[in-house]
Amino acid sequence: MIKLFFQLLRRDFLILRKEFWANLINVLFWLAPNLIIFVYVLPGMGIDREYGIFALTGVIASQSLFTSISSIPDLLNDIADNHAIYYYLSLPLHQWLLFVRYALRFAMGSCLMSFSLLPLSKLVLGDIFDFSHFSLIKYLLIFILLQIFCGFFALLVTAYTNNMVEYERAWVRIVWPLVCLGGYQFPWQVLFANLPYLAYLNLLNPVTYCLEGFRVAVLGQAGYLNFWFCLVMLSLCTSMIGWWGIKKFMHRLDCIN
Amino acid sequence: MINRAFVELIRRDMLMFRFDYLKAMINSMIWLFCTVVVSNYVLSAMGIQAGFGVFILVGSVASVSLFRCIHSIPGLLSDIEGEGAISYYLTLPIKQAMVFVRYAVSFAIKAALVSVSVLICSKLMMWQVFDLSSLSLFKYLIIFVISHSFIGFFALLIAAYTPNMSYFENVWSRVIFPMWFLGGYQFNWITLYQQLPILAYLNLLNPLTYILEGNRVAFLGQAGYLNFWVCCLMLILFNLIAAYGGIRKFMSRLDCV
Repeated sequence: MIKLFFQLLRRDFLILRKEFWANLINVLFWLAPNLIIFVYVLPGMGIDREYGIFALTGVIASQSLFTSISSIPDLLNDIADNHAIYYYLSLPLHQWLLFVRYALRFAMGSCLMSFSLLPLSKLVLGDIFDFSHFSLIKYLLIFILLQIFCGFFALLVTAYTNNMVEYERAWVRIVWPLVCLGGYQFPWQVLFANLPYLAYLNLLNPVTYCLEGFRVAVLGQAGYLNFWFCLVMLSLCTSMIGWWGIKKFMHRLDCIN
Repeated sequence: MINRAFVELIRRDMLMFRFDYLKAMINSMIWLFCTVVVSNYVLSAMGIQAGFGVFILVGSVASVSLFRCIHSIPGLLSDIEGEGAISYYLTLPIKQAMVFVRYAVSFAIKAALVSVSVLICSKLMMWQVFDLSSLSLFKYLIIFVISHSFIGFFALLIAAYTPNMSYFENVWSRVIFPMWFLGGYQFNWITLYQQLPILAYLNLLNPLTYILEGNRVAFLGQAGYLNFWVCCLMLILFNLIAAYGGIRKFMSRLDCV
């Protein structure tokens, strides 16, 4: 059973590899304008020069989520038209494991796109991107957990989405508010200083922990939520979202175990 | 030749749109509200210049139209790939070019309806933030008509050059997002010129720069932005180019006579 599970993941990886370059170009077309605007232009609007690097780390962290979410239409199309998922459900594998496989497939896709962004940004920006507070252990921990979270979050969104119209609605009404209010452009402490109620509410937003944890790993602990707290909360959110997404999917596709 | 059939087709599109109108407006408002809350209440605490919230709000209202039009492209593409209703429209007693003009006009009117509603709702919801004391209604009406006309034909042009639905994501990432983000969504052209002059000159070839700058002049006054009448003239020029390019490409693609 485990062998079959890994065979499916291997197959997914081979498919993702074929799309790698086209997807990477898309990501770079997204990263480059962000890098230019945040690092070189917004300081001209009065914001600190360090803000550019701060915002850039948020851009890199949120890229994983955007990549996972953008993979949802493939699974939606499959459920609506191709029905390959029903073939997979007939394989000698726990049915819940099939949904874990989809989540890991989303995570692998986002991982393939995201892992190069930080080194690439460092190469482009050179000394502007200060790595003196960078912690490799923390980075690896949060990076892996971030990808897994994004995979299961995309699974949950797919479970509640029936077609492309609903997908777009989920994107605008759920994903964007979570990212935008979750600290894409600001640290939690600044939100707390200005809008404390929203800041407390934001502690229920898992994207906050993704962004804060990622920034601690790259920029250091000062000014952000505690790294280990972020890690624990993100693990908790990932477990809950994973359980919820699998349960909903099993119910939706009339699974038996 | 604007005949009865053309007007009836537009009327039909609007009747169909009334079912989606409220959903489109809610989606736009959620996106805009999150963006403005962050820009006005949080980024201001991080040192960005005063009035950045209104600056972003005006840019967001203009951007809502662009996104609404771009959102209409998949419907047209899936019709060309699947149902083929466009082939029926091409047999109607109107010039074939007018069938494509109809698509652009429909895109533009839908976007305009959402944009106006979003503008009114924004003012009502963010009364204190959204200061309209510098609004020039005359200029706003001019830029509103020209920019929506451009956006409609721009969406037609993008649709004409997008071979299928799977390619649409690439167009979004590689063309629309960079044009919009580098076109001045978060900054004015003069700031870009002070920070990165070569990119600023290059940006004068980007029609979205003129839409954003023109709208900001109409709402916030001329100081600090490109000349309003230059924006209008350039947009009319880009409008003609997009209309000519889009219609010509579509006629060639669909073997029109």
